[in-house]
Amino acid sequence: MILITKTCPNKQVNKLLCYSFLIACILAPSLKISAQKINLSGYIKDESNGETISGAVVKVKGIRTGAYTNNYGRFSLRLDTGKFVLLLYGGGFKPKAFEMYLVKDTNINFTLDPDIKTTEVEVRSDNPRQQLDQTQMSKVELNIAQIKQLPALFGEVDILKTIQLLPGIQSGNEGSTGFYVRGGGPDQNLILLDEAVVYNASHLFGFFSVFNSDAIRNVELYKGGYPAQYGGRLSSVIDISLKDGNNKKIEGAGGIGLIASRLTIEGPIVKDKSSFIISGRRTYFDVFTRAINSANKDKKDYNPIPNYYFYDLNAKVNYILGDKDRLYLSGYFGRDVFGFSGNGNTFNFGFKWGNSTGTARWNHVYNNKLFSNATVTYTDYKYSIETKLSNFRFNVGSQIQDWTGKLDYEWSPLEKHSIKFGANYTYHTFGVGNAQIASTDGDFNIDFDDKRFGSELGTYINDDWDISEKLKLSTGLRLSGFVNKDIFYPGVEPRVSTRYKLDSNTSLKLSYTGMQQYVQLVSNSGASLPTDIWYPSGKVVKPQYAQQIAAGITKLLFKDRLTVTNEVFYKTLSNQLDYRDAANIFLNDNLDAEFVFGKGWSYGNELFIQKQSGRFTGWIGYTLSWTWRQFDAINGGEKFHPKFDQRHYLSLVGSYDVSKRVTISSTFVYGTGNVTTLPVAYYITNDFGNGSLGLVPVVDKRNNTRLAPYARLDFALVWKFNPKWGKSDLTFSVYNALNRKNPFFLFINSEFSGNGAAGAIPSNITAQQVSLFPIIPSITYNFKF
Amino acid sequence: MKTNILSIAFSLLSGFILFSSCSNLQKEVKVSLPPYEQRVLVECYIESGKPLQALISATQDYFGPKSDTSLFTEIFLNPGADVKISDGLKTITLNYDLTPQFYPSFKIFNYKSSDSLVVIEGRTYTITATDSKGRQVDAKATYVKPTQITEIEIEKVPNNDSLWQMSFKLIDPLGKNYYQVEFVNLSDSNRYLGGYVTDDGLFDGKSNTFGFQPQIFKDGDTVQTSLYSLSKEYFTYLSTVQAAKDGAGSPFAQPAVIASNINKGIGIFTIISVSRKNFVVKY
Repeated sequence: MILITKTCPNKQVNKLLCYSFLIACILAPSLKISAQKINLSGYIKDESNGETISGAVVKVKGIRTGAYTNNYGRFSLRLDTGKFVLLLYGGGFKPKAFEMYLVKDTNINFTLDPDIKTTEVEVRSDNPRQQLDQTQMSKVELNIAQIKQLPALFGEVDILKTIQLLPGIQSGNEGSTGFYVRGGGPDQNLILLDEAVVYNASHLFGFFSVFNSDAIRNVELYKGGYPAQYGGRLSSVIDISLKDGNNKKIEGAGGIGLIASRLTIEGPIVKDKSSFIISGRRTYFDVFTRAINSANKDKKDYNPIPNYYFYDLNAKVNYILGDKDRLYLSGYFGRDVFGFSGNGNTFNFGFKWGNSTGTARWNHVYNNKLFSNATVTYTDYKYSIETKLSNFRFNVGSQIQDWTGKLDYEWSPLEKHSIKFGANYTYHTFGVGNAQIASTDGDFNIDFDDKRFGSELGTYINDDWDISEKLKLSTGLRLSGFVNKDIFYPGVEPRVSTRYKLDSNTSLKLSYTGMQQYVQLVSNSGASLPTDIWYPSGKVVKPQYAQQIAAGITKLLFKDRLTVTNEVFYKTLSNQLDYRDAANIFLNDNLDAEFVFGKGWSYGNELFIQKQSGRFTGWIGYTLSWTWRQFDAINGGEKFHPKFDQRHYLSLVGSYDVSKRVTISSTFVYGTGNVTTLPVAYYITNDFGNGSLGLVPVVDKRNNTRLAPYARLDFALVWKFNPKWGKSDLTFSVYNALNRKNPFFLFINSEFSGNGAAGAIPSNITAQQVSLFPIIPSITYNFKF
Repeated sequence: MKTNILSIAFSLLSGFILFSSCSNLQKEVKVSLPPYEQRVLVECYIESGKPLQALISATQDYFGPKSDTSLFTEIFLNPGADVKISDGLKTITLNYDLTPQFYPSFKIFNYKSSDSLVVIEGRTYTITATDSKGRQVDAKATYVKPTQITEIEIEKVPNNDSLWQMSFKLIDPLGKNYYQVEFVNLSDSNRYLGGYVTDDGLFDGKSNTFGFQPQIFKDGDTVQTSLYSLSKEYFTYLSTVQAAKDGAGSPFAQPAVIASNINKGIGIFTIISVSRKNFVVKY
């Protein structure tokens, strides 16, 4: 919670209070109390469905005092006693004003009405003033309503692909949900779903994310300036909150798309007290492939088509126990299922992977100054491959499972200070690899199970200090640690950010953060695959550490309609992990021997211009950046660019409400081509034994060239209907409207035409570029009742 | 108005689908590869008591301005090189000889000697080569004692008339060992059925079975199984060559720099250590 205070009346230093905190030495001289002050606190909710509203503004008319609601919709404000007018604002809601007379601490809840004009025609995002006022920088809040109106691949709305349109975020391969933030690796992003870690956020080998937009309330992305409550990853935090569920009436929403359909039902369990939401999605490729396979099963030479589908399910219930207590239970379960049976039943292949998460939370209000949230989360990601080949069975898999307990407190002891503190503990179980390989006659049997355990802990404190009207300082410290057998790694992670207001519409910001990461993703595939393994820090693999400094300016223009942000950053990364050439990470009992270690650094400039209100909304993002890695064991110790280094990245996103019933939108992205590796030469070799003459490509260095630049233009049209039973729309989407052949990968094609020795020598050599997606139109029918 | 817009949208959609189905997603492009200094290739396998032979060649630029003929000349015709192999006691000079080998598979080694070396455990063997351009390379290799195939097995795949499943057993010595497995149908013009390279990470010091995918055999076919015991250098070379091949055409594979034991050059110099057994298919 952020307090904005202009006045500085009679105060006394309360040093005793401050000494109880780790950063007391920094804060002590400034902490003061006032006897004439009272606390006003409470929740702000959506009048239509009872959902709490995060990021809403609570402001006192005529003076500069105000606050924002936290993730649970709660605010706390320190005021002088007396009569005043309270103003409430929330993105997508009608503003409200209340005249109040308060003489003592008061807890009161408010509701805001959805702005019909806003929700149907005008899309508003979070308050630009909040972006200007807060010390927090390098943060973006995504507007789910706006995301739903943007063009999407195969019509599947995807928050992770929308995130890739933001400055500072590089996408992985074409169409992939993988992303790289400010030079960080794909495993350096902390993705939280209702506070539970999601280890693999993708379906279908990365083409779709696991997040069903119908069930999501809000998404916050941090690229830097990380608040102290977050830890465990170096490069970004994506904090996703599920909807609580309508506690006024039963509602449903869904959609029927080209590849998947989805349905969400929400409603009260006990009106105004308890609600639920359940949301599901499933693809249906397999319905068609099964039918085709069935129709051809008697044909001798028919090769069956593999069956594939994915599904996911989100569910949440909450219960308001009273004015001071609220319980939440939520969970996610998703699976990708791939199956193949060869003709003759000699070969069967089954591949399943997916996440499960569970979250139990208890919000408790001790008093008007102190709010707490106690959380227990469970996370599980696993994959399993079952293969039957004649009389051999080959089952392999990997898993990571976490149990986490957290306590978070928000305390507003003084007019100018808002303090957050807490602690967390996670018990990790790493099923690095397991295999059962056996013959059916029992002659042959291998049982391999590499299981490891680790404990990760952290404690933090953060103070938002309103030093003056112009200057605001957020100081935090996170102490973390990791235990793996008899090894303990401690971590000290400072978090400091400050804001200086040049005038009422312009602020300068500066932040410095340290982040430590104790688990790493083992993947030498060049792409994020379900078989990638999470691996703990240990004797050989040291924790990764990153430091980032960022400076920026935020300016509001045209009566807050345009928000312009420009940030520069410099980030260093130590103990970075890569793999030796031809590393074997599959069922390897000595994975440590496959790793090589080095360092990285990145720097750049990000420009972000947003228009968040009016009939036309959208943004322009431009990033100019450099990313480097350096390993003694790679490329002779020379520095090199990782594959996601991208010099220029431009994104244009626009959405225009043609009328109350028609919205058109478009996105355009342009980026420098990804770094890749091509062989630079070849030689002809005999091989020993029964092998014959063949060509061997010679790679001199990793990441020695680049793909061609990437550019893509997408369009969407949303046509809304108002049937008697609710609302519906048809969304037409065109992905890659210019049908540009963007590079997915390059390879050198060698053709052979001679016989004997001459047949081993390529007669024609060409470089070939492979693209993944041509122009892809799609149509989705969405409904709400 | 509403009907018109929807009609146009559906028409556009149909057109786009038709257009995208005609799209060709692979195309030839011009790439500028980083400069690369040519390296001398040495490929030499010593088998105890067998005549010595080696391929002395060089790496080639992918887009070099060369005809097929000049490529052939540069790759295989390298007269004038000085090639010597030694076991520390005896040094044998290999002479230029382009006669290809046709059996059991087509190979070209352009330097040969009728002399041979006896391979002894613990002894170090060396090769030195200086090509006609004066580039000198060398390498060392030691002998790895072969792990023996203890038992072979072939049986019909249940519920299938023509497929046979083959496997063999070995007892892996304690310590890190590296293997190459090969299956060849000697009755079918020495047709190479396949094989793989592996280490003993999952069965160190234990009995293990190496199997291979079911094959179609005729009654009376003779199948040869070969178990090569590899040096760490040869295993690493084969692994990185395979990784380099895999990475050259796939976006999902990590490209690899080839780990060669040829000092200042590329290729492999190793001592062959093999255990073989044949079995006959009987219907």
